[in-house]
Amino acid sequence: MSGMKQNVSKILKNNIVVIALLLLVVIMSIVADTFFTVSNIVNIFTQIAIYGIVACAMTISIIGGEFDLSVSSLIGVITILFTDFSKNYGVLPAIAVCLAAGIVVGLINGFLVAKIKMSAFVATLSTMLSLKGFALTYTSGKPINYANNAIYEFGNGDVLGIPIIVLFFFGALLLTFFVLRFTRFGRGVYATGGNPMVAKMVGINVTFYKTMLFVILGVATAIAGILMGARLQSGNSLYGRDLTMSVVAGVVIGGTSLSGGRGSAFKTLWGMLVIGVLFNALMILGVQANIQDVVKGAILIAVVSTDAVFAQRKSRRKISPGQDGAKPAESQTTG
Amino acid sequence: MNTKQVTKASIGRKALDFVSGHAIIFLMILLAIIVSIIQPRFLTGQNLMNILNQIAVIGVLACGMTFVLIIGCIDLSVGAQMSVIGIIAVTLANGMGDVAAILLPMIAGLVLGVVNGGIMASINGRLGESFIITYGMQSVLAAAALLISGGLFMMVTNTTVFSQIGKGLNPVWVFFALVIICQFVLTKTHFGRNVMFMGANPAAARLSGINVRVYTMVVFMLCGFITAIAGTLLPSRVMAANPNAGINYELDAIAACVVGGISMKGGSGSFVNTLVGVLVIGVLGNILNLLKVSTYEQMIVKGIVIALAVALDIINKNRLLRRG
Repeated sequence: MSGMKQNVSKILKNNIVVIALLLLVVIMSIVADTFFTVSNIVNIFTQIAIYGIVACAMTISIIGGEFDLSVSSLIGVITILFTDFSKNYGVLPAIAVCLAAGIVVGLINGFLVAKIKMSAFVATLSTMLSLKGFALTYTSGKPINYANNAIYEFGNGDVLGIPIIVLFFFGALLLTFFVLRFTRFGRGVYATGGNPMVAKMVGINVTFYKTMLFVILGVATAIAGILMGARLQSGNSLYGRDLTMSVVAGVVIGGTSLSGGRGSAFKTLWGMLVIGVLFNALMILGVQANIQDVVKGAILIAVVSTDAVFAQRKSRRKISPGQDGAKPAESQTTG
Repeated sequence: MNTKQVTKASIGRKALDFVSGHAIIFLMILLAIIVSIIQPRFLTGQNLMNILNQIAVIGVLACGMTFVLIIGCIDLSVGAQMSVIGIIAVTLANGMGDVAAILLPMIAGLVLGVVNGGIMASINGRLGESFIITYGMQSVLAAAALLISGGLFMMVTNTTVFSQIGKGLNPVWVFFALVIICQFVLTKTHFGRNVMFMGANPAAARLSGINVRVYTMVVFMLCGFITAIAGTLLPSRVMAANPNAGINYELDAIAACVVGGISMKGGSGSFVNTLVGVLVIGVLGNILNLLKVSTYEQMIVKGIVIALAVALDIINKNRLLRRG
């Protein structure tokens, strides 16, 4: 009997995000007629799709123990490059340039973090500033526009009722899931994030892995930026200002731990959906934008707090002295 | 003769160590010399006063941030805290007089610090948690600033003490005084040494009887209090409170600390680092202004300088470490 109780509480705890999401959906469906309709559901997915692509890459990098502030500037740069190059040189060169830019920024971040051994926060803070400055210099602070039918279709079209950008999001999700679960690279990422020292000792090239984390983020942000540029038909340094935080929030709410080494792609889907549904709900209920920010902040705080408390309780149970005679290992790992 | 060579070599080596240990300062001095030749306006009393005036508020903010960085956390909410404090201070200054306008914002700052620190202490958080939690707080407080003020500027109509505290060199004196006081607290008091220890190794600090949770809370309170000082000085200087006034101030404060050589890993750094970092950022901005570099291009330079300063610092530390 108590075993069953434990199982139930375990299931509840492990799927708390999904349960919260379902609860949210049920409540909203009762409160507002317009909520649970096909068009609104497509709408929600469309809203999270572009950020979701970056969230997939951010999941990999958080599992690998790093994160990246610069994506919020990079996406603006990409929309600008995409719009400007497709205006002057055509769409394909524009896409090539954007992907190259993403890779280069990823390599720079990777070099600073993996090779120079800067903390990811400082390294990506500096690239974030420089990229923002670059975007503003390039456009003199003004948005640039370019209307083109093909690009418009690419950003706003759909296949069998599913928007193209949502298909890209699903593609990114499946790819992330596959890479993390079934490839050598994925296992290396978990090992690097779990304990870089041990990973190094068992022969994993930590420098390479850490660099790749940033390159993947750069490429994903480039793709997201191209889609955003195509969707909005313009490039602007302001686009994606809240990208880093929305994405990190989605990843963490989904249950990927900030301390690295744990997490999965589908957790991120749930996390992004919670954010998407919540904002959609607040919008349908006509809540003011400022209050939406308050709600977002409060939820972020609540989720991270519970996550931290659970993680600590778990690790304390694992290393409690009585169980297998192990000493509390905390003091050895820090420093 | 042999000994002479050795001493010569060791003096050379010591000089090299000194220069590479303070690389960013020497680079800055070099740059300043070059600029003062090209642009004679750089080395005038007026311009140096300008620099000090420009850095004072960020400097005050950076002092609070330094404490938080030393315990291995970060506070991204200080910018938004400044906005909220500014609105509170101006409202009080216009309506209730100087004493309330100066005292109550400090108390509000302490309260905001208690909220941040209380959450951090109760979950025993470190850098990662503090990053997200204070970001969440930033989101809440930035929105709160807009809600309280209705999104409008608030002019200072006060003409007595409050309107004077931010004028002239007053913020600069506040900044310098804070650096001295904070440095004293950090290096000469029991509290400061424990803060340093706790930043270097929280688990060891806990085992040796330091109440890490209480210390975390107090450090965030200190940061909130110092942020409130910055938040009061700013509207007094510009004679208005702007609900968006504090946007990105937290990044400037962090940048100054990091350029000065404070590690994000915690447990190292002093307020001398903070002072140096704030001065470097201030002088650099001034030089770029004098050279007529646009604000946008300045951001590119600032980013590169942060990366460069930290990279030099790390490379130098590794060199010393290898030598043993």
